[in-house]
Amino acid sequence: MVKNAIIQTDHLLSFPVELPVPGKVNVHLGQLVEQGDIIAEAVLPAKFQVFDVINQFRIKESGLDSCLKRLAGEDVQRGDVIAKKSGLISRFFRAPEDGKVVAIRDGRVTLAMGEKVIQAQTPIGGTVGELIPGLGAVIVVRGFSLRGSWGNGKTAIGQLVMLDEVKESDLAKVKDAIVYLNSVARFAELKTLCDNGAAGILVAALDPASKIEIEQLNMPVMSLLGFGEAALDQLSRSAIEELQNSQVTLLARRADPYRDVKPELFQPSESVKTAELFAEPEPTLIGQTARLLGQPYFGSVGKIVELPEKTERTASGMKSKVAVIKREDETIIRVPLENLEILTC
Amino acid sequence: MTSSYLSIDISRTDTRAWIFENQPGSFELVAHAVTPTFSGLDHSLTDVIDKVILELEEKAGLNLQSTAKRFYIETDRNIPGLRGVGLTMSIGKPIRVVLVGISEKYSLEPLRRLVRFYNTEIVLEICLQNEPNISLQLEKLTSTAFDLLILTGGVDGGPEKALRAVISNLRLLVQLRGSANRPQIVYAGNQSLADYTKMEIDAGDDLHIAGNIQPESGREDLSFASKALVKAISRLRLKEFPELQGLIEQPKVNFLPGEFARARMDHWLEQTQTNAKSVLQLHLEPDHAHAISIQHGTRMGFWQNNQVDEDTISAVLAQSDQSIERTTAAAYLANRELHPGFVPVTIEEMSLETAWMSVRIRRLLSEMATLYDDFRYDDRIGLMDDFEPILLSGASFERLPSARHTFMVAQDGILPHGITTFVGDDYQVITALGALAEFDPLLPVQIVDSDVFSGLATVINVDSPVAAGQKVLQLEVDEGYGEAREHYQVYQAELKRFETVPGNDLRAYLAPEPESDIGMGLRGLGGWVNARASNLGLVVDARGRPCFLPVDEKSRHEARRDWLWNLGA
Repeated sequence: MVKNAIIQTDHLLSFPVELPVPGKVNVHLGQLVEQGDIIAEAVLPAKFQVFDVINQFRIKESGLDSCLKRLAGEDVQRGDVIAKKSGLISRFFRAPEDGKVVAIRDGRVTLAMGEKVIQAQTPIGGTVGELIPGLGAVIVVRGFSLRGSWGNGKTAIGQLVMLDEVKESDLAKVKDAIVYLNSVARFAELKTLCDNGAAGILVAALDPASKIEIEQLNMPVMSLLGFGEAALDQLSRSAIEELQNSQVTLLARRADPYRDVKPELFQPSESVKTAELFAEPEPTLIGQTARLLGQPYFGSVGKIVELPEKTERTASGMKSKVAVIKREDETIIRVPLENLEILTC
Repeated sequence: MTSSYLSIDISRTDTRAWIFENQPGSFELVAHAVTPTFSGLDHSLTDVIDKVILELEEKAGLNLQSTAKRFYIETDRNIPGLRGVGLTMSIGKPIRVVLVGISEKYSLEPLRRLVRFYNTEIVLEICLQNEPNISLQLEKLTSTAFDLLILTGGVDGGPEKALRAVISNLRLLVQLRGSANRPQIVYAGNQSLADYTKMEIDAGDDLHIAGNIQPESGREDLSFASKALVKAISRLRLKEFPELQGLIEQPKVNFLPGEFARARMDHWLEQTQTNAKSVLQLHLEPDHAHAISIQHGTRMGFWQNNQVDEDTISAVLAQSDQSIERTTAAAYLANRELHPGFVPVTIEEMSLETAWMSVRIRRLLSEMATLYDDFRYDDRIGLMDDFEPILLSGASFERLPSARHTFMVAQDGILPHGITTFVGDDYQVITALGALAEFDPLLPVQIVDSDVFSGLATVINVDSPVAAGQKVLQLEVDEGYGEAREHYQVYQAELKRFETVPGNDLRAYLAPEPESDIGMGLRGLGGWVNARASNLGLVVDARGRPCFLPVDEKSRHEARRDWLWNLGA
């Protein structure tokens, strides 16, 4: 269980920016990019028209060549004749819009018309650290990071505003802001903030009953602890307080627990730390502050004071390696290693 | 000379490796190693594989890999080395699939069965009968993000026109995407068009021509497309994890999806059965569940990624043996997805965990039943056909604290019919054997015969319409200690266990009541049953289908707890 800490002052963020369909990557390795820059772009025909010349004109295959007036790859203007059947009453196939003949196969002419542009913009400035061929790039940037547990897959940038609850009087200041709500947030509260122009919402925890609705909310939402009744620890709260009124990026990306990818509240910093020649040794867990998962301690913190070698059996009968934790109220408890999150490095 | 085989399986939670050796004429599992696949730091898959191999080398006292990360493959029979390496994986994003077929019933339905065996997400379906507009077809194909397209339709030598039009569209699509971003395309339709497809689409190694899954009217055989599909999936996984390229390019390395390897073993198990029953395997991992059923030589399978919705929460609460509030259950399940390694500590968490596992199995089998008419399962009355053995594998089963927990989770989820045996794959070895089977068919046979699987229980499922508390079955049990035989009676709504002693099989004569069905073919028909020594021994499940449960919530929880405690150990 060596995962990145929840609060990191000098964190190297890697954020992939990708197109949903293949296109062209507009950046190069090492390039500096600003928030909003287009990393990749796919230009697709807005629509296609396939015209079956043989069947529509009722001609023999041998007569096809004399009917075709354009070749594959040619640009066409609206009204241009693409195919023509001469005779007493001539028949035409004209381009319905500006476009291009993209294929002529088996007596069928395929026209591509119009343009549909799909762009992948970076929600954060940084350096292009890796190219994803045909799809985009991974943007890397150093800064302060507060990792969350759950995100609805969206991102936003704005000034951080802290609220203990959603009050009518506070709604004026949420416009274009990333709002931190220090409570177990319900959908109605989030909807109110969204309707009043908040750019994104950060919450201590979410009401599990609202999960599906929040997933569909058209605004980034990130939960620091996850779901259910829990209070945020003082360390995390202090970190948020320090960011108050400053510009932050809310990367409420979906968590991938297997790859330790989590949503993050991020603030880039000017640090110019270079890569170490040798990897730093993994820090010992003893003495570190950890946040606890599972009932009855969900969200509370404590210090790791001992790491017994042997696997232990928990009250449920499950076996696990444990950490001995000294909680803030001085009580000593034994917690499975899997049920801990390291709070700070 | 001893011959050695190495197998490596990468799942989302763990990477495992096994080494098998042919020692004086019979294969043995020499050592087994496990390491977490993603430790959270920036390790690549090759780092994880190196780590698990290193651990295996220490345990087995063998050198398996050179410093240049090349396997020591046996090139000369006199120099020891590996005769084969199996590499299987079940990690990666769901593969986004487009299905194109001529008709709903004869093309798309079989294609769904074919792809849902793997970790896939169907993002677009085009039925050429319903969507004859070629322009619209092309628009849909170009505006959909997908990784794999499977095209089928028409019997061999049948009509070609609609398929030809799609094939032309695919040619254009491949050109638009460019060679670096080409999707994988599998053609499994009318074989008269196979060569035409190859020439027209011109997608090189990204095009896979399979046999027709519907070679003649009314005959469906998905196995014709298996090889091509496995190849396409392997190429996609290599694209996703390019670091594995160096490994699989080495000679004698067999790279397969883990579920395909498991199915291969299940096929073999079914073929070697003498009881004419089908084989069922359930594989539960924290992020997904997978079922394989082999019935009369036909493979059926279904992959299901975990998903929690309101119905799931209700089902978990109904299955739990503790009084738990809905919001608590909802929060537990939502957080469980975020922390798949979470260890349930309290009694309530454990109850939710096991209930969730049973619900996952029920959902998995229900979905499989909707896909396959021949797989008869209902989530209230369970399996309607006889399966033996039922194999349980995967990390979710592995971490349960006791045999009774594993049994209850599986029994409540599957609700089997008749007499069956539950078998646990403690070393998760079935995937490894499936991957190595083509190197030496004797290897899996001998390893399975060496009792590498652990017997969990022999179960007699009694189906009777009588009321709770009425007698449904009498047993005469011969525990193998001379002439003495014990007599027992089982009543409706009971779960009873008869222990077995290691090395001593238990024989029981079953005398069901006239209205009781115990899977002997007719209601009221009984006979002798042999229960091999296993963790739990012989279990009689007379809880009914659906299970008899009190209406009152408190009594219901009590009944569930009693059933678990009746299993003892």
